[in-house]
Amino acid sequence: MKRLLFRTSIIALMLLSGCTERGQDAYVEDLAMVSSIAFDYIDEKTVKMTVSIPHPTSESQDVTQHYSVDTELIQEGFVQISSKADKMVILNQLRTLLFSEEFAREGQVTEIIKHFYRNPKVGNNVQLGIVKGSAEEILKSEFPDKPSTDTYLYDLLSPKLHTAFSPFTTMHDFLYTETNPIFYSMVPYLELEKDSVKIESIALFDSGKMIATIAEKESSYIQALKGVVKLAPLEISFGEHNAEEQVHIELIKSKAKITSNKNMVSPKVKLQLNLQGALFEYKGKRDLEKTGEYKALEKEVSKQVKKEIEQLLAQLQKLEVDPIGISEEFRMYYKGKWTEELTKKIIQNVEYDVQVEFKLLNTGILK
Amino acid sequence: MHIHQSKTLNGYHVVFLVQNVMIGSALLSLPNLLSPVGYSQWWFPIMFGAFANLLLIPMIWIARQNHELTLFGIHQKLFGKWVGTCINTAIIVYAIILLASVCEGYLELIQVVALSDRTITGPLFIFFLLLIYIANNGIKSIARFCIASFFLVTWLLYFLTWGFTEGDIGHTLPLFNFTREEFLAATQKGFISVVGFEVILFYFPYIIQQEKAFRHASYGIWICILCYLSTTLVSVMYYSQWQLENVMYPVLYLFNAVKLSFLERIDVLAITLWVFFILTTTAAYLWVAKKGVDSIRGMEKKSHLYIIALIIYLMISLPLPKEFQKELYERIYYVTYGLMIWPIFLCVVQFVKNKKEGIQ
Repeated sequence: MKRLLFRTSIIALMLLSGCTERGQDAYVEDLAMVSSIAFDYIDEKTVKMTVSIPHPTSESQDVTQHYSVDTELIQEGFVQISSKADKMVILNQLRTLLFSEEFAREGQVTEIIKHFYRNPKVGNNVQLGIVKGSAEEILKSEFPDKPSTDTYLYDLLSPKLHTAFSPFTTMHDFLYTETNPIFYSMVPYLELEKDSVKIESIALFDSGKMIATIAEKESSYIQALKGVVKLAPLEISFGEHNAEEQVHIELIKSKAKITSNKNMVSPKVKLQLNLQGALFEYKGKRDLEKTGEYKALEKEVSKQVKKEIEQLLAQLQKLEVDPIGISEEFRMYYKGKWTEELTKKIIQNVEYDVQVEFKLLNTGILK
Repeated sequence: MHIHQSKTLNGYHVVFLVQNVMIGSALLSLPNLLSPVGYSQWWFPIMFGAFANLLLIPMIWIARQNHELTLFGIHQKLFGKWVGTCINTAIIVYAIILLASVCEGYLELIQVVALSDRTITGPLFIFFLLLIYIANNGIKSIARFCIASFFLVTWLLYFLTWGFTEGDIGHTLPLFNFTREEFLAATQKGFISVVGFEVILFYFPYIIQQEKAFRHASYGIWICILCYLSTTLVSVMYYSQWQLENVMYPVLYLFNAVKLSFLERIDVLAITLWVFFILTTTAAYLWVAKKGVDSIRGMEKKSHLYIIALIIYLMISLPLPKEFQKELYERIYYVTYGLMIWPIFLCVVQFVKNKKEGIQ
């Protein structure tokens, strides 16, 4: 009897739990999941925040909702948006954060990213992008041939081989490079074209402020020196006026080795880069069937890459930034706390010795 | 049949008991606790392991001298009934506060990460039901649960590979980049993570192969240290020093780095699975507290367990002043360090006593 009573009460408890009133819980249909947020600069205190919320089950024509508010505090902005939206606004599905160039140059990006990094609802793999002109505009623009702007932006900023020159900065990456005295942040720089968005170049940051942009190819070299194995295809022209010969190389493997002389007073760094690739296109006068010419081309490409890397390093030295993280080679052997001043000192005084070795693995299956 | 009165623990039970009671909520924040020494922290778990193993020697020695007695019994034997009972009462109070601090720490984390739109009363209640269920059947039941939870949770270590591939191995150098003050601060905070192996003093009488207990317990310690080492190493590689200092649960954020096409937010999965580690740690201490009350009252009763659980439940759910609670939970770890050195003192007393008896 006792056992029967026990069992019935257990079953009753299980069934009855369905009758509880739970006001706070919301169903998926009642949630507005923010997918992308764009930030535009208004003045020192105020920021224009635009959120985009995809609505898969929406009955209206537009599948994406947009809300814009001017606000001083981010969380306050969400409260304002919630009062406009028909559903509960949540951040669990946040994928992309866009900042206008002006906003980034004013140096407020770090603060905003820290805000989202703190929020346990937001994952760390949120992609970042800097936008030429207005960030709101990109979010609100429509691309009729793409499923939705949100997924398009997210896919664009996700790692792919042909855009491997881009650092694909996530929220974690940005905070890592911003808070690490060795590194300088790099974020993809986007530009709105007629019916698409393009990763135009890469924005460089120094102490939280965007200072310059660097071109695709240079960024590709930076990625190579940082030790990325799979790189974007490389186009190199050389000869007189850099126009005599042109090659298009799909890079198969790259290997970088950076060694320092561990001397803080007169720092010297040796950068060795090994590239292996397949030749896809060649314009020039060489007869590549001859082994000698083939070898000569390899040498020529190595020389050109070396020259370009040296130019890039000089340019970075002039800007006093070091996105490659060369100072890490000195920090590893330095006793004491490493500071940004030490990094700056290294950048100013360092002497580079660049060595590039390029190897052609194949030229396709035609003779 | 009285399961408590016979020897029930095999060698592997001891290995997993030691290992699982050690891993509690401290692992989640270990890289943060060790952050005063910055990047040099990655090898600290090895040092802690060596310390723990050294401290294990007097524990096993004193336990083997009195192989039929738990630490409560040893106290009463060495110091007489009154002093022994006083020390035992202190240990019970200590176990209760430690339990409350572990439970509350974990549930707060759950509240922040997984259930931020609810209160924790419900989960807390279910947690306690499970806790009582595990501790109810004695130390063997806890040991079995330890084995199960080890295999249910440790596979999560695989998810560290994402952090490992993204990180920079160069951060591991230089090895000794800290001052003495930083070293002491990190050790003081981080040594909490290895607390838990001393529970062997209480379940030693239940071990079948007591002569091999030292070896088995050492295996347990080093399995645990291996888990710690992998997390600190990956954290050092993946984070900047600022992040190590400021991210409260670096291990959770490491799981956050995982990119799988079919599953997002591994960290929420990890934090909910972590309940197994918390359950084993708390169940062992609950069992210790229950044994303590048994020894003081001179009888074994199930109701002791329920009363202790109720006290802890009330401690967590009653609105005590936050500052007081925080202070209490932080101070309790000093008692833990004391308890770890305590067996050395006991050894001396035992040694003197043995000599005296030998002379007589």
